[in-house]
Amino acid sequence: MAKIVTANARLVLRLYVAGNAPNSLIAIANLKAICDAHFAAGHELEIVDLLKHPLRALADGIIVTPTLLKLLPLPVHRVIGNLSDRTEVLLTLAGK
Amino acid sequence: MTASEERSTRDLVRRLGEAEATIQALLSGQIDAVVDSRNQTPVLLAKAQEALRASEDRYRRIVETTSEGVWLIDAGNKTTFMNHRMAQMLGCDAEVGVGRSPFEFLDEAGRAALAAHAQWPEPHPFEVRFIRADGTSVWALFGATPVFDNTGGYDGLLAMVMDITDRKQAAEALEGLSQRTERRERMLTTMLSSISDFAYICDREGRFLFANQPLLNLWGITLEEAVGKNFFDLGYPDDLAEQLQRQVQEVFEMKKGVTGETFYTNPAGLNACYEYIFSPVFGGDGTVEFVVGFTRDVTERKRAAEAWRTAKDAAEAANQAKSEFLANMSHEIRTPINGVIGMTELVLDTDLTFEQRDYLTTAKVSAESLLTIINDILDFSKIEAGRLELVPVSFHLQESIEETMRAMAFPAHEKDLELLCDIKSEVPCYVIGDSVRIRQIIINLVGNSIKFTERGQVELEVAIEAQEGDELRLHFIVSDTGIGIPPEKQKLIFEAFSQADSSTTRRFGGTGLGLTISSRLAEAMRGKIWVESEPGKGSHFHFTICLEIDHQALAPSTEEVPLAGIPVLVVDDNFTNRRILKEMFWMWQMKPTEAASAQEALTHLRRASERGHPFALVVADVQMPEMDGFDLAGRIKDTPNLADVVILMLTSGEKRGDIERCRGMGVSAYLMKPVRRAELRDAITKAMRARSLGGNENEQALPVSQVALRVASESLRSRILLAEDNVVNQRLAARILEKAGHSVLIVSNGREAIAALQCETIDLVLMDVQMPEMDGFEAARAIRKDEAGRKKHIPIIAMTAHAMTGDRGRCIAAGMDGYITKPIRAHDLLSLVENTMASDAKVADSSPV
Repeated sequence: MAKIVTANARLVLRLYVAGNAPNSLIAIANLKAICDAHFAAGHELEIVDLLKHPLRALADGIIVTPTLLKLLPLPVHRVIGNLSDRTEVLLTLAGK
Repeated sequence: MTASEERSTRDLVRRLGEAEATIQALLSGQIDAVVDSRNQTPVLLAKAQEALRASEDRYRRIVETTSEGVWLIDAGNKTTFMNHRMAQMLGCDAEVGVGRSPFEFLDEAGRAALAAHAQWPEPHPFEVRFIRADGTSVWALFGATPVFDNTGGYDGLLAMVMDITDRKQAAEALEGLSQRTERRERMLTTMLSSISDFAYICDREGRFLFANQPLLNLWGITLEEAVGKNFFDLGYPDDLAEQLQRQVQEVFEMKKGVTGETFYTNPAGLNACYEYIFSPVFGGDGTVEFVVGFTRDVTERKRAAEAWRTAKDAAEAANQAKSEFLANMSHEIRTPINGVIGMTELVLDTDLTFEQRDYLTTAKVSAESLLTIINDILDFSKIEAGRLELVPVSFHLQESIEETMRAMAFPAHEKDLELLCDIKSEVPCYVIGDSVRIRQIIINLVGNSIKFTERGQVELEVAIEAQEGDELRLHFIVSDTGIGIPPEKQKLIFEAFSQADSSTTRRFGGTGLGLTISSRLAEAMRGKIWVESEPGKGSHFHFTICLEIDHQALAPSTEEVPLAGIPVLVVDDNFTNRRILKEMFWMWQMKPTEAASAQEALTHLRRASERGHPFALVVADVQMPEMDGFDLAGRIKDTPNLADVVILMLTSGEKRGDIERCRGMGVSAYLMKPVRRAELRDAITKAMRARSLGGNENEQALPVSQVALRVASESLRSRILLAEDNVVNQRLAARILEKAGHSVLIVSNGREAIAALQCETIDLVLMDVQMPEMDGFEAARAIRKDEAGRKKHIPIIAMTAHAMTGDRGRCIAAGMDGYITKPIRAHDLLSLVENTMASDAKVADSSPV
């Protein structure tokens, strides 16, 4: 799983997916498009495969995929689903 | 609220928010996997869905591929599902059918059945008929299973529906077929029972499988009683039952039909005759399965045929009796006429006044014509009685025909008719056939032609019609220039007792049997007879006969005085006669020239003489218009240059003093027409030889044309034994023989003849064939038997009264040397006696007949 690190590391994201399942691929694509558009300056993104790292998911309290975690800036927020509702994703990342 | 409480509360709200988002995401299908909370493992949602879908697909496929219709109906009688097959059966689309009530697709009876069966707890198939939108219908077997919900309430029907239209139609067709078969059987049974013949079917053991009504009526039982019984069971007589049983068996074995006839005394006690036909009925494998029989009562037909045959036999017997009566009558009449003619001839031989001679001659002529008539009747009777027998012998055809024609010359010349005979040179000399019967036909036809011709000529032409190996078919034509026969009478003349018309009978006489006899004789010789004629212009009578060429008989070696190269002049006003003579001369390689009149002849003669190639011979007809043969001869002899030419005269009628005239004129020979080939050749040869010798031997060449009673020369006088029971005939024959210088010993039966031969010296026996005690045949056989081994042969001549039973053949068989037919004519008898004696002296063991 690739780890995307940007220069401005104020935004740290973690996306849990389930292999190549359709919604997981859609979620990855949506998230990248949003980050490229709004947070190109600096963000950190980790994509974790639930099927490969079930224990990490357990640790993060993940019960379904795809689930996006905004780890920093605090507080931690999560978005559940394939991230096709861009507004909701932006609101969450903006630290509402 | 404490900080921790506030944190707790915020955390709870967040969790609730997350839970709601999770549910939202789940519901909108944005979730890929969930973590099973019990064993902490992730589960991919996509896989589970796939499995479900696959299971669903499997069931759908099963439902759609089954050959039965599947139909789901809810409790409200609405269709919730139907498979493709069901939709097909109902004639609608599966989607369209959903929501519709099954009752819409059923007929009245189907609706009632469905209502009755709908809520039965167990599936219970029943037949219904669906009516489709297009009006066609489908028969189906409807198996309905009720569906109940969790609470046990009725929740609709699951129906399995099978299309049974084909089965239904087949069943209907089968029913129709059996109905038709039954109807056909009824038709056949009725048909077979309404004919009067008996019709039945038997199996291999001869047991009846079927019998029609007439046969059942005969037996007096019903079909049910008859089936399974055989001929014995049905009370047929044992021998008849056996015969029929055997015949049935034969049909099974031979595989083909048989027919037969039976006589049967039916239960009613009537004798009846039946005709039956048994025919095989073949099974599929080619063996005989049954025998079909038809029996017909032919009693009536038999009776009629019998009656007809009896009547026919009776008629034939009557006809036979009539013919025999005629034959016997003829014989009875001939015997006295025999005496009349013979005695008349004897008296004519004595000194008589002119008047007496005239009366007696008339009496003789009358008796002879009576005899001719009787002969005709006798012949005809023989033919009708089927007793005509041909006696084939080898004979000289040409001589026989010429001799016959010669015999006809007298009556022809009396009427001043030319009588011509033209035998084509290819006609062979020796043939095997019945010469007597051939002569009879010629005499009859030529005689008729002479009778019905007032002026002109009568010609006989003989040619080969066909030849195959030794088989020869000769074609004879007798042509005349007489009154002719109208076309409508031409067929009639060959029928018995008819002449062209009855008036001709009155005018010309005769029995009218001659042509009938000739016709039958020609047929007997495998030929036929017919006529071509034009009234007023004459007739052509044709007949054909079959003969065999006799190669064994050698042509007599004639002394070959070569006539070749001799120039000869033929003088005759008759074209046909000139042609015949010319043909003969050509055959002999002479050089003939013809002249149609005496004047023309003289011109030819002078011219030839001037050229230095004079004629050596003139053959001239006596009777010619303007200048006759005698005048011509006179003129020739008076001409110096022509005087040494040899002249032969041919005449159709001999007048007193003609011979004297010939002699006076230096005519070399004087011959009667129709001239015989051999005779003409002979006369020419003699005349030419005499001329070359320079002597005058004219009288030698002159033929003797009248036959007087001969007086046998000393050397030929014989002692003759006469066996004859009839006193008149005894006296007649004895008188003739004694007058000729023979001595005669008379006995009156065969036994006496044999006795006389033992004690007397006898040169010849004259034997009547019909005598009491011992007849001529028996006596002849006894004599020959007695002679056997003694190297002795006494000539025996038979005297036959009639030829009813093939006497000629019997004479030869009995060992006789010759025979003579009664009535006895002096000339014939004496010639035969002399010839027989002469040939017997030459060849002791030959037996010419």
